[in-house]
Amino acid sequence: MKKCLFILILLFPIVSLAAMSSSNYRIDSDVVGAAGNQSTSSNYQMGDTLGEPIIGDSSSSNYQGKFGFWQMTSGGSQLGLNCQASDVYMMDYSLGNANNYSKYLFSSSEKCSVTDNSSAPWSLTVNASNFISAKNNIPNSNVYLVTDGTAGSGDTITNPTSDIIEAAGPEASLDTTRTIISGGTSASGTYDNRPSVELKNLNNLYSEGVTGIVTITLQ
Amino acid sequence: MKTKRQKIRQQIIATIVVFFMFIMVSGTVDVMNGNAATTVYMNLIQNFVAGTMSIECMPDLVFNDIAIAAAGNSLANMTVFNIRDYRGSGAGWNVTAFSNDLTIANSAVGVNNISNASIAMNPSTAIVIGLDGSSTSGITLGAAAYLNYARTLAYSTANNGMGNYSINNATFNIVYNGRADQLAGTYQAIVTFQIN
Repeated sequence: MKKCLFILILLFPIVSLAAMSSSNYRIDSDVVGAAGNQSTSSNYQMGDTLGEPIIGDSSSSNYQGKFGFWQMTSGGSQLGLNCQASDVYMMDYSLGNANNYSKYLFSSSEKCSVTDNSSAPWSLTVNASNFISAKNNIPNSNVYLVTDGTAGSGDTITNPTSDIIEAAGPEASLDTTRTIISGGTSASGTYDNRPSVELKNLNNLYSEGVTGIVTITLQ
Repeated sequence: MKTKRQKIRQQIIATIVVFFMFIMVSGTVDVMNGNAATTVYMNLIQNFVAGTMSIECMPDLVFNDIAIAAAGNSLANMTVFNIRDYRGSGAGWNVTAFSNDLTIANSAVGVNNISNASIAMNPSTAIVIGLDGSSTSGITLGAAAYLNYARTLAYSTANNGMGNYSINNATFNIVYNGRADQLAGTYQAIVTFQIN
């Protein structure tokens, strides 16, 4: 009987870790442990918990696990990146167009969102592979990020714009990793970013679709 | 004796429990640490729709003056000729030229034409320029020939000649035989270029 009670006490915090919500309130993270405390000074804030059954990091080649209450709060994930679409379709390009380029502004359903819960600066960068098909090969030196230095409008759009700096532009080839936007120490919350990408020198290509891999990194 | 053993066992268990509880204390100082980079991969897809094929030439090709009854050549330079293949098929193309006879609107007695068999085109003097990043590989200029038949100005092999090209400075030559009864005046002919 005592053994069973001991096991139940050990298991209880595990089943209580899930975030809780109702129609009016939300608790992002909670913990059941033996003890805990919150201490503050003029420069620092410290929290601690006592008695969590499992803490620490664990990883394999495909998965990564972070166990423990503080992994889920300010000491753990401070920045997040979420891109809405895995496939982004640019507008069709008619060969012979006098522009000889195709520029595409990601739609709102294709945006990438940066979630910032930290006071650390960050940057959102992009690079691209060559764009290829059975017969076409557009080198990534002909693939460009188009920005205008104005975060809230123009070729690349970010919303909101507080403490956000967009690359000056007007364009930079994606054979090199380029910064789209950067967030300062005061940036906080979720920032929706819609980059503009341009393909150049298209009129000598075959009439078939090409695909390139765009790599977006938050760091 | 049994009670003493139980007490020792309880103390050992209690020590282990307290030990693990201390190990499981976790805490953070809210000074921001570095974050590992987060990366997302997206496929960006562009479809190309077939366009058209076209050619464009200068409206007039003006030859040097030539003297009646004196055999000789009259030259003209076709400074610009454009070829645009936006079909996106890689089918290749062939540009030909054909001329009718040179004629003059003159009702006087005498010879009022020059045969198209005397009008020659020499593409070998031309240069091929690829515009907008178009490659000139696989494009060949035609041989010098008289325009009483359709003659090749330039051609492209399959999977070449895609895009925008300029063929500059092909020369034309009227070979005048020096007939004394040739009527004086301005002779005109229409040269027809065709791409297929």
